[in-house]
Amino acid sequence: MRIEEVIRYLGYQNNQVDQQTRKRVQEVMQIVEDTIDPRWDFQSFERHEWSKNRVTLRGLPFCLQGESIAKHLQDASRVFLMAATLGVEAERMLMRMQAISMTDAMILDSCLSTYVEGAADQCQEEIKKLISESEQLTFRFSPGYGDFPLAVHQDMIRSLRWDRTLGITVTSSMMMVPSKSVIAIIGVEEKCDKNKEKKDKMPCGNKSCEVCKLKETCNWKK
Amino acid sequence: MMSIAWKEQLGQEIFFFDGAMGTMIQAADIAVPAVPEELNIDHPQVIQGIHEAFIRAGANFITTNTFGANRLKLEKSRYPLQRIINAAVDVAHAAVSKAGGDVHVVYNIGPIGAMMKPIGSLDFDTAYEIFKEQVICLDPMRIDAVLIETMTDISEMRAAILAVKENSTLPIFATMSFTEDERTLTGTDPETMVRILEGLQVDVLGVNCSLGPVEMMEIVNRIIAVSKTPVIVQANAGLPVCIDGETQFSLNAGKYAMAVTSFMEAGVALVGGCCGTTPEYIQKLVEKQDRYQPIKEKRQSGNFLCSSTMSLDLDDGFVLIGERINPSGNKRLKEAFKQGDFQFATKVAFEQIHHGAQVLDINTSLPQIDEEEVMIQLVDSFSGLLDTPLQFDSVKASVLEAALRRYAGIAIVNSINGKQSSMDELFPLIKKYGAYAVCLCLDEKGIPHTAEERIAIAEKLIKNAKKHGIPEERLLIDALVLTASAQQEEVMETLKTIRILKERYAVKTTLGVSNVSYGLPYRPLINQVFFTLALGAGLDTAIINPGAEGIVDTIQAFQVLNNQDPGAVEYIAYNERKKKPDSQGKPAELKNQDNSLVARLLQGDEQEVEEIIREYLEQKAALAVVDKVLIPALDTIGLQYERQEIFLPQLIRAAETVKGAFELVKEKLAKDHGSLEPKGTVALATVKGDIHDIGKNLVKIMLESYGYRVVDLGKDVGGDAILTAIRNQQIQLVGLSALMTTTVVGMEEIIQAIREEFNDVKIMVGGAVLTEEYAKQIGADFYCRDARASVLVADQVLQ
Repeated sequence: MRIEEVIRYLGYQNNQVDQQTRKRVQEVMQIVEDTIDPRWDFQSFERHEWSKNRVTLRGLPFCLQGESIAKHLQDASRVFLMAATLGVEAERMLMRMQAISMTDAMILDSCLSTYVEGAADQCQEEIKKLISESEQLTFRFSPGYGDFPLAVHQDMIRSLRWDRTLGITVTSSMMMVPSKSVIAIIGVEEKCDKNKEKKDKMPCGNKSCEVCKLKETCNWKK
Repeated sequence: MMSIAWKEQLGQEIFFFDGAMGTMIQAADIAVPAVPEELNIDHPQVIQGIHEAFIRAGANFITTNTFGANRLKLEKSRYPLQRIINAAVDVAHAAVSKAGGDVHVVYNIGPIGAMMKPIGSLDFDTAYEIFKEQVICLDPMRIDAVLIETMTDISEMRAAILAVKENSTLPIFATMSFTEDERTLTGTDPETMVRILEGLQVDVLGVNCSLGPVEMMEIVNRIIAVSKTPVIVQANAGLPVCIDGETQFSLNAGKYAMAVTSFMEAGVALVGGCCGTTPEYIQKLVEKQDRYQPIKEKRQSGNFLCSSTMSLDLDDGFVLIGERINPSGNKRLKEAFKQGDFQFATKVAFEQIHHGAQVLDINTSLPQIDEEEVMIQLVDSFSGLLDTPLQFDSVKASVLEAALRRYAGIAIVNSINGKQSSMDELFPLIKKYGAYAVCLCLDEKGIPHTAEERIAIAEKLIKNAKKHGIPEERLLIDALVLTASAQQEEVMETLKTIRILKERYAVKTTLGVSNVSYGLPYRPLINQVFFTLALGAGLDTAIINPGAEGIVDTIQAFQVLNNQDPGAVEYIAYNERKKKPDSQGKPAELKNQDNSLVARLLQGDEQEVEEIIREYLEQKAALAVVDKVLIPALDTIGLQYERQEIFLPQLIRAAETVKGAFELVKEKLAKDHGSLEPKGTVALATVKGDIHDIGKNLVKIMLESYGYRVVDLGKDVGGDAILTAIRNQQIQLVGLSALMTTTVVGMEEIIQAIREEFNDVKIMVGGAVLTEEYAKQIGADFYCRDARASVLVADQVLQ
């Protein structure tokens, strides 16, 4: 976990943070790293059918709807579905902390958000090891981006059994529980000139929306 | 083939379950639908073939293809629940008829697929209903038992067990899944699981899924070491490995059977398979059966209270029960309960734990509130927050049952007495939920004077408990403390009663200590000496304020003298902690020379802030201190925030720190027979479907720091609760928060409902997905981009 990332989540630019808050962030980061074990899982599928607003994957009983996800996967021959979570313990920590100190709870919340993103990064690194020299990964695309419906969370969780293996569930409003979880779709595409432009992150170049100045108007935003 | 004999044989010989239905369906030559249970109707021959293959492999029990047959998972199914369940049972029976043998059909229940409160939004009653719907579909003549499996949340498991128990007479097999850290995904350890499941008297318990037999070994050993109930193990075929994008399992049938034999050696009574295990795996297990027998020796299970995440050993030294969550005698708590605010109770809980409470007594009796409702709220919220086991304290059986029912643990009931009506009403609950009970030595004739008479009542209680199948170890006899100022000659009778009980019986003892000093000066001294004597008499537990002077000191010292603290290790550590008060303050290197009120608030320096305010209170009227000192300081901080000189964490720290100063002002006013009127009342809620409330809680802190009264309605709140609050609590301003687009819809509905009934209530909204424009669109009066903005809105609306 990088402290700068946590501090950005808290709304500071790195040079603005007061010493006391910085110190507390360091302490809380340590607690998080000592007590929370992130878990993740992924599985790869062949891309089966593709149209400009619908993608199906071989062996999955549901399809991926919407122009954004179709565009995201248009050059992908294979697709990885991945999930990472900090589990119930992170959720409990956050509840406890809110009962004791809201200042600490805010700091903890930012630490956990950073930590789960880090877990997703690690998961993606593992995926990277499984592709050949001539291939590259797209960035992580999550339900809720663009016109990709949140409801696919439920289908993915059930088919990949993440409720059993990772303990991720969703509420009827499609909110993930535990909240510090990431579900994403990564395409595997050939390295070639056409695909060079793509970056290993959000199309805007940012890693997180929460700290983004354009979050009010962004089309990619969760 | 329905021989009843297997129930007698359970635990006498090894039985075999089938393997993985899911794995077999995947391998079949059909497209797997989103709802695999539909195959019972659409491709019954495939499911029947799978059952038959397991029967031929030697399984004595086959489980129906109903793992996901619940309301939630069948939402998108073409078929109703009853039809899916009937088809599943039919197909299992068809397989038994065709493949023959003495095979039993077990109805399979899997997890609902949603997280229980307080982490998720599924409440206990709904979970119970979802399981009950399945159970009432079953024809008991066609099912031999129910297997509740792959549960990761002990609370959900309890809901399922109660649904089966209360709606059928079928035997219950209950298994949970553990991760490699030897806990379930929601944090229950194997021993605690065993105790909670035995509390509900299941017929078989154990572990399945998630791990292979090798990784599971330690978990199985831990279960076998404490379980009095026959144990079942259904492991995966090793760990999943991804080969060319296909998930496969690491052990073949031969290796799997080798590994599983160590469970049989350890004494499990039933084995089967989970993910990745095919008929071949089961066959290899069955081939080894003649060599093993389940464990026969009776386990000493000991006496434990449990929360969902820990067990507390009642036989391992004195246990301190915190008494402070009780509105009688606690004005602040009374107010909080009346306002539907449970946060304060949480604070009281944490304080007591901090002082050394190992169990928390919860009493919610207050004439103006719905005692049962408040009890349920507290049980729900505590179960996510605290590891500490609970004691439920009420004179109403209905309140006690509501708490026992929902509590994912083993609790104490406070209290039963020697009146026949009390025993008849409460002992069945103790039995049903596997709880412990505080038993008072009084009956229809009141509190007896002598130790002998109290012993007689205790004996009556013990005898009655036994009639209900409750062993005496589960009773905590309270010999009753009388006040030394009124009944001086009887104080020692209490201690004598404890001594005699401890000599004659295996019961535990408890007391409410502080009553002894009532009406005398320097009460802590009387309490402490009496408490010391009671410990010497053999007192096991006490219901007491753990923060009271000398109490924890006494326990720590007593345990050294009583040889319960080898090498005085605990005592020395305790002494070290006492020397160092909690350094809630700032680290030395951050000491700042600026000692103005604003600087102190920003640093969160509570003590210094209180010092400064004390000085002001000596010079100025209390209300002037608020208007001329505290509020201007907060305004300065607010402006610094707007100018981005400071940021949200500092703003919130200051708001939290100012609370102590307000308390001082209130104290001063109370002395002068005045009071600090709130500037106005604001209701806050995170809307239905939204279960994250950190943003809303920040708003609450900010508003309170400015002297507004906040009615906090919590998270996942529907319109009705908000309308009720507006009707009953003079709310002028409502704040709603929503995090996601999917929940803003609900926000809009709530706003409409408020508008229809009240035209003078203003509404502010906030949350990650909202914007100024969006807020207007859904009909709100104000959009708050952050917690600070809510204060400006409140000032505008309520001044």
